[in-house]
Amino acid sequence: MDAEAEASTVAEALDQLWRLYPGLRDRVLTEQGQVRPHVNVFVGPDSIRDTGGLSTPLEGRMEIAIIPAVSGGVAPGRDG
Amino acid sequence: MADVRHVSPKDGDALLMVGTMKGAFLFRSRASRARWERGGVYFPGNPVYAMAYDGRAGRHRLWAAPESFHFGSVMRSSDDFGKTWTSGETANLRFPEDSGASLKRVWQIAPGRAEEPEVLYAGVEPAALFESRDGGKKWSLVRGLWEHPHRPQWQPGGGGQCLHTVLVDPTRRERIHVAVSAAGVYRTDDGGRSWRTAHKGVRAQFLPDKHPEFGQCVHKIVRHPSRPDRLYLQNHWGLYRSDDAGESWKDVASGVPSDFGFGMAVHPYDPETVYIVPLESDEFRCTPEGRLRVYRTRDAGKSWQPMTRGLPQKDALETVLRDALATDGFEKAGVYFGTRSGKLFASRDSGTSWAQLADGLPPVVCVKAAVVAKARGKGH
Repeated sequence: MDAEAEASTVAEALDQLWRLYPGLRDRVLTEQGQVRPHVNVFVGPDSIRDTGGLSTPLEGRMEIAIIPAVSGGVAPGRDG
Repeated sequence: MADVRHVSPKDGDALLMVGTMKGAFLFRSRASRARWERGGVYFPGNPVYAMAYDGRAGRHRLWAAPESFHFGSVMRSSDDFGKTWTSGETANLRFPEDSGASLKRVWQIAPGRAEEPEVLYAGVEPAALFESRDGGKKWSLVRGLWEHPHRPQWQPGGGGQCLHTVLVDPTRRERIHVAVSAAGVYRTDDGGRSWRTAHKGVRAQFLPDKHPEFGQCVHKIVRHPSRPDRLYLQNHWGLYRSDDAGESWKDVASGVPSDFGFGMAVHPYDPETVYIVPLESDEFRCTPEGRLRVYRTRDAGKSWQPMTRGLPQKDALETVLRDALATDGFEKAGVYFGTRSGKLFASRDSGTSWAQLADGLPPVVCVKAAVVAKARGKGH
């Protein structure tokens, strides 16, 4: 799905997305407000893990993409 | 996407809930437990470590905690045996902000006492206990345990740092036991406000001090409702019984090929009868000698006998995990277990003989069995 927002940081843009689609927030962020470890958020081609996380600034017209990491499926066996 | 089949259990039927690394399944049978129908797969692709059946107050409610590798874990329930489930959108079990913790996995869902039909408990990773007092709509962290001075030093076991077992005392309203890997057994007698260790006598084989104040890697504890002060414990090395609600433990590993294992279950009508599946070692974690044997005691652990009829006794290197062994509620008890290799076995004669119910499932991590309760107004 696509949505448009005016925002100066990734966090601000995502806050607007959560308002449009409230169910998305808990899927992308942990209860501590951090991006889940196996979800990647990109601004243009760059992962925000390398550019300042959720406070990554936005300038001009940028595309933010939320993409599950390729590390999907089941993690190798732990006993439990 | 896999086709989803459904089952429609009736009052008095046997119901099995099977959580695997890639979704959940239901099995239902008449009380004879001779033929089983299978439902699922529910939550395909998601590990389901915790399931529960809540038949209190006229409900027929299933609980499951599917866990998306990417998108986290959610508590979901179904009042129509899996045909529809509550929404998975909002994280309904969440650590409060001041805890600094984030939910990794739900390991256990435990309905509370029969007299408190709106109370449920959940044991999670990182190790913590959650409680719901409104039938599972809202969940809150049990602060008394979270703020226990030992907690910051709890170490993870091989499966992670998890609170994997919750036992409510059916007679003492304020008493709950929990087990944490690798921390031990903790008990509250005041409804969760204060907790103390309850694992005196349980060894920590893997530590220089074999009897530390805490740090025991307890894999499972079980209790019989008719004798609530008696508990049995499968340890990371060690098999124990307590007759004083966990104040002290006595080693009861005699006649077993190994005292290492995960799962443990108690007979629904006989507090002296307990089931385990010994595994060779913590290094190998497979059934000894390639023989898949359930060991049963009928004298509260004084002696254990191997149950082999109907179970493979050659080249069967199987692993049964801590929540993958269960009993149902019939007087002639059904005993069930699932393996990491995706097999499901059932006994309908209290463990004496066995039949394979399924093969080719994803690795089984959770097996829960129940008798479907009579709905309110139909004989209650």
